Amino acid sequence: MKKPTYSIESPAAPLVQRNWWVYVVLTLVCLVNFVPYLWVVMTGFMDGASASSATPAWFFTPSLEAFHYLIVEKGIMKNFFNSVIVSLASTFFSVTIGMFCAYALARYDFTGRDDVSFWVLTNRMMPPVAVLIPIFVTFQTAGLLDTLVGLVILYTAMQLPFVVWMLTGYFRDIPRRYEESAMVDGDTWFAAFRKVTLPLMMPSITATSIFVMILSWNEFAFATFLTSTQAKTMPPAIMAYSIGADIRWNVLGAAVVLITAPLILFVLLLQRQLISGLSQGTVRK
Amino acid sequence: MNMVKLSAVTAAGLSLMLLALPAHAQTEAQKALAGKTVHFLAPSMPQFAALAKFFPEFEEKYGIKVVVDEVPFENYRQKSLVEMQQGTGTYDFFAVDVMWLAEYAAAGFLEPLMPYVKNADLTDADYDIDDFLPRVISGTGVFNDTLYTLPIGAGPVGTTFRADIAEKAGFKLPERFSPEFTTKYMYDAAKKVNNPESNMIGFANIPGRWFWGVTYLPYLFAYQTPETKGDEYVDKDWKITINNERTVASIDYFLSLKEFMPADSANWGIGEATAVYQAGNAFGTWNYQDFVKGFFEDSETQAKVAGKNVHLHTPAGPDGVIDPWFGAWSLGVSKDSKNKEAAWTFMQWVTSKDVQARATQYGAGPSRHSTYKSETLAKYQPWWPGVYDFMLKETNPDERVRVPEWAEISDVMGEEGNRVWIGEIDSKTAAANMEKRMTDAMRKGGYYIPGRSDLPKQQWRDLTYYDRLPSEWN
Repeated sequence: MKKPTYSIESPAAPLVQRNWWVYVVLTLVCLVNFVPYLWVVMTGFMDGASASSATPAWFFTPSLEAFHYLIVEKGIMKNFFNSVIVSLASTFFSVTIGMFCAYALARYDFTGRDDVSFWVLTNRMMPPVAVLIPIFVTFQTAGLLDTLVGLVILYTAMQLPFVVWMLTGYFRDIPRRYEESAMVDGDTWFAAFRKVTLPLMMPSITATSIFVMILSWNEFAFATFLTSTQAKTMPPAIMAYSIGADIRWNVLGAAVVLITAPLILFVLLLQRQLISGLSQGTVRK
Repeated sequence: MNMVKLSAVTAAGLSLMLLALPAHAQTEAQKALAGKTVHFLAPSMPQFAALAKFFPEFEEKYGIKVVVDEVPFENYRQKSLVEMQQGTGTYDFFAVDVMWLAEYAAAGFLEPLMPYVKNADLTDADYDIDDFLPRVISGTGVFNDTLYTLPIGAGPVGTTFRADIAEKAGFKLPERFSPEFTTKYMYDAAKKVNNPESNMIGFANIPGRWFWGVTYLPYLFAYQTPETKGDEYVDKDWKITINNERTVASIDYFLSLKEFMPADSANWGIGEATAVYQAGNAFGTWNYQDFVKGFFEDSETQAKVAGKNVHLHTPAGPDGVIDPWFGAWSLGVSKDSKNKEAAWTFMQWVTSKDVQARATQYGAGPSRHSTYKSETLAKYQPWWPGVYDFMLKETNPDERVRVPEWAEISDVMGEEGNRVWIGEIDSKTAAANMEKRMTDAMRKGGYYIPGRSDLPKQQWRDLTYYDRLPSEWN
């Protein structure tokens, strides 16, 4: 018996998207964005000769030559762990401290609040090179050169304005009456903050943390000048090992894999929080 | 046992005994340094990578640990300057480019080395400083008659071409230093094979702003006449002389190579040009002799071009003048080091006859007579022995004038030259601007103060200054 060629749809079923071309466009955009990264990753698995070949080769014999060079010969995993420690610690401190600053700016009226708010933002405008020497001298005097503690302090200070600026807006979006209700029930302001505001803020805090983490992870200029062998992080190490007077493309590719993989993993794990955080405040209640 | 067997056994026994003995007995002072760690700041370049292969051997022999901090070449100068100026003492010795020596030595960043060389407690008995080529050691490390650094390879810049491409096009490239290889010859040869549609450009030039002090200078010098040699930048009274028709002609020639380059090449540096050549997409490019092995002749990483190259000098100009280029990297002990003796122990070991000869296998360049004559060099880098006489008699360590203002002069040249490359100004305007700005730099340096009598000597006018025996320096 021949099967019927029509289908029966419930009136309550969601609308089927007919605009297939949107998907075609989206796929193309994704491809355009993804192919360069794919190519860099592939280059990381090529040997030196294939990587510098004039004709791009999609099919090649994979080689771990570049990874061996970076991990075994150059000991880049030490730089990797330095980066992990510095990024996580500076993200934790800057978000924790910045959260309270942002809360104060969002909730309390005090003289010069707008000035403080603007001053915080201007810290972010300063190009790193303008303060490199003063910071170098400060680090030298304080014995912080080539230490992880030094980098954590610096990155925390560098990222604070960004955290404060981001979170102030998010705090303002949460109605004050939620906390007031808790305080009417007998909570202190801190208990109200912890039990009511903080859970509502989690997506925003997570999104902010991701951005701060990325900024700390990728920081190059200060890491180059303030560290030497003990506290050197990934960005200066990668530059030194893959780009000398010439460029070793497969080493550069392997380095890109090593430096981006943890970030991609981090973002994938927290993807839901990130999207939720980014979209928070876009719809006024 | 017959005589042959007896000889063989004796020889084997002697060989074993020799192997068991250390090459040099250590002094008590050297032994006392065991357990120390020395820190070395170096740019990531092939010749330093070659030296790094010897660190474990040194550590085993002397018990001194060497920690190297590699920094991208682009950041190296700033990083080393900040460390030196602040006197951090983080690094015990630095890699020093010849063009920075005057600046570093004048500022007191480096330790004079001759007291160490002459200290028998710290220097191996067969170190033999007079084995270094006189111009190489004086050109690399001497400032105001004092030795500050030791060379780890010095050489000319040149050009590298694909012999196989030339052959296909029906011509054979000349020998190194052949008078046949002129600026005109180079341009014509590049034009003959230039075919961008088939991914082959005639010449991968390096017009990036920073590089003019390295890549354009060979043409500035080649365009001199025998009469104007020595007056390329300044006259005998230190007045800037660069605004002349020879400079303009040399810029125009440098610019003529733009014809072979892609439209986006204005910022090409060594990395970009070399990558294009390594990929087999250029007939010729610039080279520095110390980079040849690492960049062009490493069959593992440069499979496309290794073994197919001809390494020539930069071309002779219209009047037959060739560039007397002298380039070198060296090692200098930091004035602020807390381990100067340990740093010196490493430096004298790594620049010894034995290590220098062996390092050539991995791409290090020669600085000693013995290294030039070693079989290892002839086997692994056969393009070197051909420049021995040039480095002995022709090269001019003062091509890049040895004054603290050189960095600014070089920068001015690059900025104005690059403006010509991008079409913002013409070569005549560039030469005029260079003269004006270089004059300002020299004025700032106090060269034109009336009655001043302590101006530096222009040693390039009589190069015998650099031909002193190395041991005669302070």
